[in-house]
Amino acid sequence: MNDERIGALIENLGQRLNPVRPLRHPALRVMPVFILVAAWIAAAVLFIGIRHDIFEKIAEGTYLFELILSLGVVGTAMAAAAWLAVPDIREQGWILTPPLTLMLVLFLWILVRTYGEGFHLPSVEWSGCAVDGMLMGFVPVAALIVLTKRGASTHPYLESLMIVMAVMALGWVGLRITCASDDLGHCFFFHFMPFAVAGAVMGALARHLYRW
Amino acid sequence: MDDNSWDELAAAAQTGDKNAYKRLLGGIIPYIRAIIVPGLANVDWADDIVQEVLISVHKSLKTYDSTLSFKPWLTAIVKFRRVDFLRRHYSCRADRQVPLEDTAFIESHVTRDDIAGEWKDMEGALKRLPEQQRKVLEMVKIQGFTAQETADRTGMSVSAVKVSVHRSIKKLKAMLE
Repeated sequence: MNDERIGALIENLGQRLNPVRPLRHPALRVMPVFILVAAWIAAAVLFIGIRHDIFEKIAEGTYLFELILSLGVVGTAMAAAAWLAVPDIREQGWILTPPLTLMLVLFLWILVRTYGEGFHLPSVEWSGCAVDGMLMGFVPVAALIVLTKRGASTHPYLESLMIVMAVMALGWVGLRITCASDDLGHCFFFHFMPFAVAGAVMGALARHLYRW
Repeated sequence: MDDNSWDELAAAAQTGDKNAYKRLLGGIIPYIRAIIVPGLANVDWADDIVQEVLISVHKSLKTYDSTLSFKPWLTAIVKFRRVDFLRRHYSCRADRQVPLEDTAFIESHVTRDDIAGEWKDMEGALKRLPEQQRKVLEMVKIQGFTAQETADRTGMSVSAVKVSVHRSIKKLKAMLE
């Protein structure tokens, strides 16, 4: 009986088969998204306005290190998201190691800053940075979801994590370029927390989002 | 059938070769079973998972890269569907559900005869539905398949599945009133 059902299913699927165009290599698929995201962030930064002391900050090694580290998370997490859209990650599971490692370093960096510079809760007020962060993150998250949903991920949670990491780091870079505040409490609550909350929501919905 | 021939058949299927596709789907079933059966609490579930894997292969065929081996791609889908099936199965407590025909369970657990009759009525009404309608209704309303998944398994269109479920419920209501 069950063999009959499976046989009928194979016959049915066979009859419904149409030629398919195989997905391009993930690196090629992610490239246009990367360009779109870079253009969007550049436009958002210009729209919001670059921080007045940017040239002094760029000369600071720690600031530059933080920016490069964040950009590293963006690039590697976006690539990993594209790879994860293929069921077997193209047998290249190592692709997850760079973004996770760089993200860990970024967290450690924030912790070191917290220890070195002190941490205090920012005053409770509506900060424009939270809105700016949402503006910067909206298009990248949408583009990455469209990109990854065209595949067939067998790792929905990791897929969501990579997208959130990429967008979080992207927002961090954008806000560090536009917001003149280097206060850690402010950075944590208004540059980081909105993305963390959005990430938690996306993580909770991951199985539904990547159902196929 | 060796791994290389799977690669070739999958590549041919991507170009629309229906015979190659059917050979591929038929050929991978023993491999799928070999992965999913060990550790399953009930081997009867294996057939359900096999069907889900075959449908998943169909849906995601475009993600296979013919320059790579087919087997790891398939294995990833099989493991994903196995876990997905078990998660759904246990989350809806299907492991604690009892078939209506399990009279021994009913005799030992149904202690209120006044309610037991309603169970029998429902069972009788379901049995009076045409075979195909009952099957579709059970898949959608009892087993929790979506209309699309039911359509894939039965060869019906999605809209036909929805209409069938709607009509079945109307019939059941009429029978039970």
